Amino acid sequence: MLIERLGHMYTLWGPPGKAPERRPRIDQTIQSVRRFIAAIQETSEDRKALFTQSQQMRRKAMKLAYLLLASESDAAAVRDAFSRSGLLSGGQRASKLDALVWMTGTEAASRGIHPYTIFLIMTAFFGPGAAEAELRWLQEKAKTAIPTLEEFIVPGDLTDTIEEALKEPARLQRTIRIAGMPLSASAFAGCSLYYIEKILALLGPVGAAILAEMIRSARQRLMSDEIGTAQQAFLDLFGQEEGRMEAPEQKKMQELGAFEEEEALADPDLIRTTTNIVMLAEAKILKATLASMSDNEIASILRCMEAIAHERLLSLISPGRQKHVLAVIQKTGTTTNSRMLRDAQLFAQKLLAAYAPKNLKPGESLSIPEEVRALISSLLSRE
Amino acid sequence: MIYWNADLAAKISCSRQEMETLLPYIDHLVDVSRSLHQTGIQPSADQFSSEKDIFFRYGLLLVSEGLAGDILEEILAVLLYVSEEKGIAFLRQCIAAEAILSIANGDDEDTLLRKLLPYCGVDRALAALAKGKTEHAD
Repeated sequence: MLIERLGHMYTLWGPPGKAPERRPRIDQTIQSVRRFIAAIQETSEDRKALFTQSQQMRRKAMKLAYLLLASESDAAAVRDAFSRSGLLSGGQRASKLDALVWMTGTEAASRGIHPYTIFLIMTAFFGPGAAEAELRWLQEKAKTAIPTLEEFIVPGDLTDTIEEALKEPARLQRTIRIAGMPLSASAFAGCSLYYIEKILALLGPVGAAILAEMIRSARQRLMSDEIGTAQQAFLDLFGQEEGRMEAPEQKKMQELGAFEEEEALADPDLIRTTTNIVMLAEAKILKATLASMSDNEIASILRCMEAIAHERLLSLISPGRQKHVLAVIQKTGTTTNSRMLRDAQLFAQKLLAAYAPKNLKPGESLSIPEEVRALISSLLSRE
Repeated sequence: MIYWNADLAAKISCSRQEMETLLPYIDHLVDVSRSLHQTGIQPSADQFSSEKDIFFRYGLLLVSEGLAGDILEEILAVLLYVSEEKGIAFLRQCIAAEAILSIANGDDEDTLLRKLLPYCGVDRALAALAKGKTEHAD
């Protein structure tokens, strides 16, 4: 939830304070951010080269950012290093914001986010005016950076239907956004160049460059079966989009009282919590949890999370089982919020059971990452 | 846990009279959302150049690049965090950010209204929703 996230920022970082006269300083920092993004792209294979670059940095926050990236620190370590450095506390607004720009950018890089997206996150600290100017600059840069793809076709559901799907560009755009770039790229990896070009034209240059890069990467690392599964998952979402468009017309017929009644609309907070649990839990624990669940239970829990988490869960079960689960999803009708909550809570209980070693002694606590523990307890305490 | 903060509460606070001005603004956001729902986004055209609200325009540009969900929320939250606006102007930015997320997510009009109207206060939100339902029934 946006306002909750904003409240969290205020709690963690305090108020941003009054802005100083700052145009020259902004320009200087933006140039540094541009170099930072270029450095991330250039060292994607070997971050150690960033140690040398860090020596050339004079500003503390930038030096720390380069050093943390070079040492391949995770997101928590990045936050910890910046908060211990004292750069975020005290001082003027300009130096605090400067530290936040570098901390947020480094943290995003440690999460494996695409450098262009990192750039958008970092430049947001300069306000919408400067951020828009930087987006225009990035768009020009991205236009020349869209990778050349070769012809590669994987027969599958999407390959057969993409021509039809392209007749509804608004719906296809929405599905790409909802599915997220990784799943969309995996699905489009099997489509012909002719269609990929049409798909890329549905996005701005930055989005198109990111998607094309991800398609190239998906073609290198995914098997045909996996691309086929991604195509099926993408088409499922495309189908759901059609259902969502019809929904408002039906709702117009309902009485005012229906507003309070239980309905098929998903609770976004529940979806977010379940998604975060799936994204943060270790793969081996998730595998053990899925092994203890029936196909119907897996199909039910998939309805309680975002597409990015679908991809993770489905990648942890065999291709054969994936097909069974997807078949169950196709057969089942709409669900309710309370049913989704029960399904999510059942999943959380099974996940907890998977974390518990067989020889757990009384009084001994489970070794669950703190963040996952908090999410599970929040989920289980919901009513 | 919902984090709340006195500084944020002070920044967002505004009078009932000022909040009256939000409904026409929400109407504008809903109109834009409806139009994008039907026609989609044309990334090659400068589709949003006529949008005067710089915050909303930038958000729509991000959506046209395919951004949505958590990353988009992160960027919008940063923009709100550094915003120098206060009171009603800041509240408008919060509503614009919520609308941008909703548009990116492909929410229908009812869902969008349910997300935006609570910013006008519970009473006004319920009244507006009730009015909307009556109009639909008519």
